[in-house]
This record gives sequence, C-alpha cells and structure tokens, in this order.
Amino acid sequence: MEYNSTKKEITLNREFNELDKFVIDFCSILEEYVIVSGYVSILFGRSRATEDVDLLVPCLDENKFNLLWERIENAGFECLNTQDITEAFQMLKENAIRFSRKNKPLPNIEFKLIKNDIDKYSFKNKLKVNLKRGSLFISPIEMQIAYKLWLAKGGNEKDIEDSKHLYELFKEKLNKLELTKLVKELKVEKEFKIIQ
Amino acid sequence: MKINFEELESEREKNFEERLKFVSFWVDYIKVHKDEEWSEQQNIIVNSQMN
Repeated sequence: MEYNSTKKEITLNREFNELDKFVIDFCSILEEYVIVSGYVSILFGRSRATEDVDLLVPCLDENKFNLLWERIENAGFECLNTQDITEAFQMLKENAIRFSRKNKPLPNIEFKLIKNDIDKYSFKNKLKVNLKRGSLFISPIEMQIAYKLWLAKGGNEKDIEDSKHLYELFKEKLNKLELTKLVKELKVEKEFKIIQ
Repeated sequence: MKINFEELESEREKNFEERLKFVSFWVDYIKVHKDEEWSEQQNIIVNSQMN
C-alpha cells in the first residue's frame, strides 16, 4: 500500500473479495462519485463486511438521472426501493435509494446526492485508490476518521473501531492539522482520545 | 432471573477495550505484510458474510 498525499492517490494491491467486485462494477458505471463511511475502512483491511456501501454523487437533474438509471439497469443492477424511475428520482431528492445486483439485495449501494458541507468536503477532497483492476474514489482519510467518530456518538462501537483502524493505518501520512480541525468542527475531541 | 447490570457493563467495557487492542494488532499485521497476504485473510471474513 502506498499513499501519495500530494497526488491524493493510494495504490493498493489487495486481492478482491466479493464486496470489492460489487463496488468496482457499480462505480465503473458512474462518472463522478465519492465513497464514504464503512466500506472505506473495509477496503483498507478492516476485518468486517457490510450490507451497504455509502456513495455520494453530485446533484443530478431528471434527464441525467434517467440516463444513469438506464446505464445502471443495463449493467445488471436494480433499484431496491422502486422500479418506477420517476418515483426513484423523487426519493433520491428526499434521502437515498439503494441499488443491488438484480435479485440479490445484499450487498447494496446506498446512493445519495451530495447535500451538506461534509458531503461537499468529501467530494472536493476525494482520494483516488488505484487497485489491481480499476480505481475507486473515496473520502479523505482525515474526514473518515472524524466522521466515524461523530457517528460513534450514537453509541455504535463499530464506528470507533473503523475510525481507529484508519487512524492507526495512516497515522504517519495523515495531515494532522486538518484532522485536528475536523475533529474540532465535528466536536468529537472526547472520542478522538479513545482511538489514540 | 437476577441480572447484575454493573457486572454486565464492566464486561462490555472490557470487551470493547479488547476489540480496540485487536484493531491495533491487525493494523500492525497489515503494515508488515503485503497487500495480497493480509487481504487474502480479510477476504475469508468478508466473503463468508456475502455468500
């Protein structure tokens, strides 16, 4: 594994599991996206699986969404929420929609539009992960660490473990000033102490 | 059934601490092994939950 923070690129020579193949196949359909949350930790070795992969895309108008929907379907995926394209677009504007391989609800992609400042930060500062086959765009590690700590405030220890995994793995390469800033902004100073 | 919640909470905390230690242990393993090696092991966990 090699992390070039200047180029915002990580080279990862991992063997693929079924979850990686699923994510790579889906992301290859998209033009612009960023993967956030649990799968980022799993990609870098966290010893757990997940039922869903959180993915953010820039704002789509209905025309663009319809074209994307067609590409997604042609690639063998389906929307789990509805088969109605207009309804799906409305649901996406409100919250999120899920896609999986046809007739296989697990795992699935939780597909969301970029809305808040955390989403925007993750997309703007995304990292490219070069894999043996293809590449993926993920949220910056500093944001992942801080955001997972914020999620852990809800009492989920799994999120603290995800955060610790990334912190320890990338400790030497992290932008410490940026991480400290994000920890402060998300008000997770207490949780940050737990993983150090 | 009498449940000792203090004892349960203490067990939960100890278990969490132990899991955090394992996170560190596993990260150390990843750092000193090739991507192909650690991922092969991780894939056993991930694939077992997928199939």
